[in-house]
Amino acid sequence: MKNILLLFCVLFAAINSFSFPDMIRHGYTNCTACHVSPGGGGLLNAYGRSLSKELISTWSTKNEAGVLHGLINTEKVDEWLALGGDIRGAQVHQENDLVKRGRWIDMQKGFEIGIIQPKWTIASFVGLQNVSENKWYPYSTRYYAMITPIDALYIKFGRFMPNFGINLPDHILSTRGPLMFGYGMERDTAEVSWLGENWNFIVSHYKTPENISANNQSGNTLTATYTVSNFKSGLQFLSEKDDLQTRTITGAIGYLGWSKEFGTLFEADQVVTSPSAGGPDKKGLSLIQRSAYEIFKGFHIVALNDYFQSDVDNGATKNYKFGPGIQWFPRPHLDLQAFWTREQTSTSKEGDYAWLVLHYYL
Amino acid sequence: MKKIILSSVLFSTLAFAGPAQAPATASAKTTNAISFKAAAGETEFSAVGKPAMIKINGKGQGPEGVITYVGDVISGTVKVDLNKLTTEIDLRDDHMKNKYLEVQKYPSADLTFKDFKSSMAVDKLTDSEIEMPFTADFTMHGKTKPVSGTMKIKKSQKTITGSAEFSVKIMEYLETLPSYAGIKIAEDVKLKIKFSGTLQ
Repeated sequence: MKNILLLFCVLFAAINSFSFPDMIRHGYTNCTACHVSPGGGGLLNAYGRSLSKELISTWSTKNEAGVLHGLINTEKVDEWLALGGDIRGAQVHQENDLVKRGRWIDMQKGFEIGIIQPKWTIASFVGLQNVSENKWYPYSTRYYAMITPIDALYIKFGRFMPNFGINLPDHILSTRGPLMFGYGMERDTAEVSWLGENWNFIVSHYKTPENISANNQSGNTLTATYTVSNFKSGLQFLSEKDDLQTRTITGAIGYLGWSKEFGTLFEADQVVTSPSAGGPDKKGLSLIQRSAYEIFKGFHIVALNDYFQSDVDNGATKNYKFGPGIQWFPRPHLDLQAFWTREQTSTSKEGDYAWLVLHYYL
Repeated sequence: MKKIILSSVLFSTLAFAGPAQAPATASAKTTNAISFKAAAGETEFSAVGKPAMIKINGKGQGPEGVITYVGDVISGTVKVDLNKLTTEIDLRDDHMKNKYLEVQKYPSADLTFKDFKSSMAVDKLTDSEIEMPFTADFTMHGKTKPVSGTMKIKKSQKTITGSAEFSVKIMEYLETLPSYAGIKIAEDVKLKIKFSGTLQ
């Protein structure tokens, strides 16, 4: 049981506040529109807080998007100080012919602070994390310094998640957790980002801490995207090596804003793993397609396809989930996602896999 | 001799003045007008917000006013109501209109043609859209600067439709570069004015 809980934590816990890439529908093509970090997630800047009220939330009052719902006036410090924090939890349900289980999981409580200057930024997240059942302890897995020598150029170093793939909060998705971009995967990273009006280039070099991998793991990522109107697409590449194997990921990503109400996110990655000791390569696939339609301001219905196969030559490694969901931002500081999918695996009959994620941000 | 001189002057006058009154050129001298209604058009603008390279797009009503023309020479002013501009973010709109454009004091942006000689006379326009360069004066926030751009235009019976695109340097019109929640717009702002007018 403990292992199952740990697995759920690994799949669902969202150590970062993740970005909302669906903003492509409104022409926001770069994460830095709303977030301090070029990769999105985490601290919101003043503009992001404003958009959380103006564009994202169903209801709001005048200063509600501010820190602590506007109870404290941060207007005088907004230009240099960013404050944030997260409380997040998930309810998970899985049911098929082999298993029926469900549980509420507390995942995250934390506080984040950033000092923002025109040419540099430092930020750190400090909080409490549930890594196993009912055990909480302080931690700071994300901290970084960032230099911005010119507009659009960001040089960032510290411990954080290297930029790779679409930064969605659902770590269960085949393109997040299974590719090791899920919970607790922050690495010691140096990253250079050029986030221009049309072209984005992001290059990362990382070394994985020993608490994640004790095998001297390090890697590089490269992402290049191009934006035309409200459509952003591109290619990404990862090369990683440790004492036991090398891993490469080659993928394509797309953020497609068909209209102000309707958007699609897709990511397709091929993973090739080569054992250092020799032997055949293993090829895997991760594919997601997530289309969302905003029924009314802040309320989205979502259709999800999520395919994962760790070894294309072994059908037993397949896992496919598909189904509807909703995402709702009722007021600034609150969001929830709920999905009810059908799950196909080779080891059980088709069953249900559902999850609800509740998130409060400071 | 006086008669000869008088006849010569009279002949000369008729000979040279006469053709100027001929019907073939009389129509070219006629002043015509095109009336533009705001509701029939649309104004779009786009700017880049730095440092995040945000694309800020806004829109508003089309131009309103009367343009006159004599042959291929165009004059007149059309106005765009700045109160009707929106970027679909209320607070940003409030800043844009009240803090920077000061729409209470300067309610419109004006595009003025002063004897602009177009590459094709309005009378010769057809329902096939043509593209032509143009120059005009653009007035906003109480300041007037020359602008140049490209116009796409066509005529169908008594209706003239098309669009005019040009860029302005916003600091030529405003005292401070507009900013909102840490995002400052780049100096170049692109404008596209879609118009529909009726020949009078």
